[in-house]
Amino acid sequence: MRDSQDLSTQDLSTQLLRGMRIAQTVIVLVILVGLNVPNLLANLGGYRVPWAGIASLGVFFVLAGIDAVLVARHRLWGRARWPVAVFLLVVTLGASLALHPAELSGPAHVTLGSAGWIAVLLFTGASLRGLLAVLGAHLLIVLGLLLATGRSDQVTLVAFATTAVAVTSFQLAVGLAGSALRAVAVQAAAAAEESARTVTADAVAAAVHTDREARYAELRAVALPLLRGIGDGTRSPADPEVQRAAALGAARLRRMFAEERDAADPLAAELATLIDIAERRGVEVHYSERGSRAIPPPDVCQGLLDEVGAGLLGAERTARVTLSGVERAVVLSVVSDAAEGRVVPGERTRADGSTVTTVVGGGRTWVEARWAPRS
Amino acid sequence: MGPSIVIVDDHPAIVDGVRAWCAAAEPPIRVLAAGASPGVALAGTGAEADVVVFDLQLDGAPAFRALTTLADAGRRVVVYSQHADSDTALRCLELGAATYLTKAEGPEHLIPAVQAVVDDLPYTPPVLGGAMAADRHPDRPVLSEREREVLLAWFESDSKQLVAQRFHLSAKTVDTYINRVRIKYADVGRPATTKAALVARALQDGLIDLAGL
Repeated sequence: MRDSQDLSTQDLSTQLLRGMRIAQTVIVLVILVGLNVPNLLANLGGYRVPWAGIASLGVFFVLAGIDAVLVARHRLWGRARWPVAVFLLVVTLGASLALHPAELSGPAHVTLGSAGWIAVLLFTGASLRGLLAVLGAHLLIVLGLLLATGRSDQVTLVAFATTAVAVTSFQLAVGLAGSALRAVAVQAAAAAEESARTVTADAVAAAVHTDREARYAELRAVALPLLRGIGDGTRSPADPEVQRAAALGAARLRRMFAEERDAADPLAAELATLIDIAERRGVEVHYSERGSRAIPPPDVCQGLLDEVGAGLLGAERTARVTLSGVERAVVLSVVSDAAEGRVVPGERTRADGSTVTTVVGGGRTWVEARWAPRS
Repeated sequence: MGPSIVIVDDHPAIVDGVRAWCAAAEPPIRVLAAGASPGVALAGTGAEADVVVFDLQLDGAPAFRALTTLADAGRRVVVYSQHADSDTALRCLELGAATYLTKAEGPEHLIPAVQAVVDDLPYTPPVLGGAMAADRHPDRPVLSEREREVLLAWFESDSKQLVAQRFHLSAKTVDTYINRVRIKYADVGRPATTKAALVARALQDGLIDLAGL
């Protein structure tokens, strides 16, 4: 649940941030190409090691390129964010060290302005605090270098502060906008989650209500005629036929209210209930299960159980019950010593497609109900 | 003189029950020895018995290794187990058991099983029949539709009379179908002298021909 929520929040914020990120990419590329490259080429002489200046700008291009690919793929920097940020700081430190100290606050120091933009790209979609930390660390490093090289005169420091405030405020503004968008996304995701939860709860309530109504309908069909008959005296509780109908009805009610309705194998679970009822009536039941079976639809299960249930609950002393999965068929069978008079031997097909075979002989009644899924 | 058995079972009540059934059998079956370990069937008087009645559940786990030892020694083994699952039953046949009965089937089927097995005749109790009918393992024999239906019906009803009545067959034909499947099972998997004897006897009796294997 948490995972999916986090995921949906992330998806949503990634989508919302996308427009923003495309704009950022354009800004960074314009700054790198339009401002930094000409500045660097014009001021290569400011570097003690010129290739270091070129290499550091090259790294910025590579990072901006990777970010563009991530934007296109709807992805954020994720776990790579902090290691890359540290790498970025190391590169900028290297570029600054490669400069003549006099150029630290001059136009040759191209990484001073653009490192922050790369950090903005890295921290899009993440906490604002991370971005602040990296921007701050970057400025502190440069300030440290200025002081270490003895350039603590007021003019230099003011020039540095002006550059830092001008550049960093732009970067912070963009970072803040991203952060605000992300907060909106989190709220939107929570709202979507909440609305989905409400819809699910409504659907569950409706399903429970329908199920309950179906159970009561079944109750009316099974139990009420029998009870009414006994009540008005048209049916006698002493009549074996009425007793069997009552036992079948009781079995069905028990199945209806049983927890096993939701069992992995409802047919086996409901069959166990039927066997239990027969055993309570003193019938010795031998039960055996073979093979792997498909799970028939609920109405077919009910049909199969009704067919063999009459034989099982009509048993006097013994019954043999088997449940098999053979080829693709589900086969439920009861052999009992139920009185022979009540059943018609032969084979018939039910409306649900299952076939029922009844064999009577040697004082035993054998009812087999078989169903196979249509291929 | 009637056939003789040795009982390997760690439950005294089971041993006493089997002894009582043997005494009541016609002709009576002699119990030469009984004990809780397979050794009782491999040495001493027990080694002379025609059939080993073998409880698979010795000391907890199914004793497949002991069963293999007995089969390799050429003994006819009737596995008599409380395990009712198909895999265990079919594995015992695979290892060379003559037949497999669940304890619930004992009262009706143990004595007829011993009597059949002594003569190297196949004997398939209903639960074993059900295991074969539902068996879909690719390494196992291919059954004809009629063979499968008859086996399933035998499993369901435990009555060859009801099976015969249902399919309009004679009881003898029902037996033929059931036994033929048992021979097919004897012909696959790991070779064992007991399996060979079963197949040889079936060929001799005309239950199957070489083309049927």
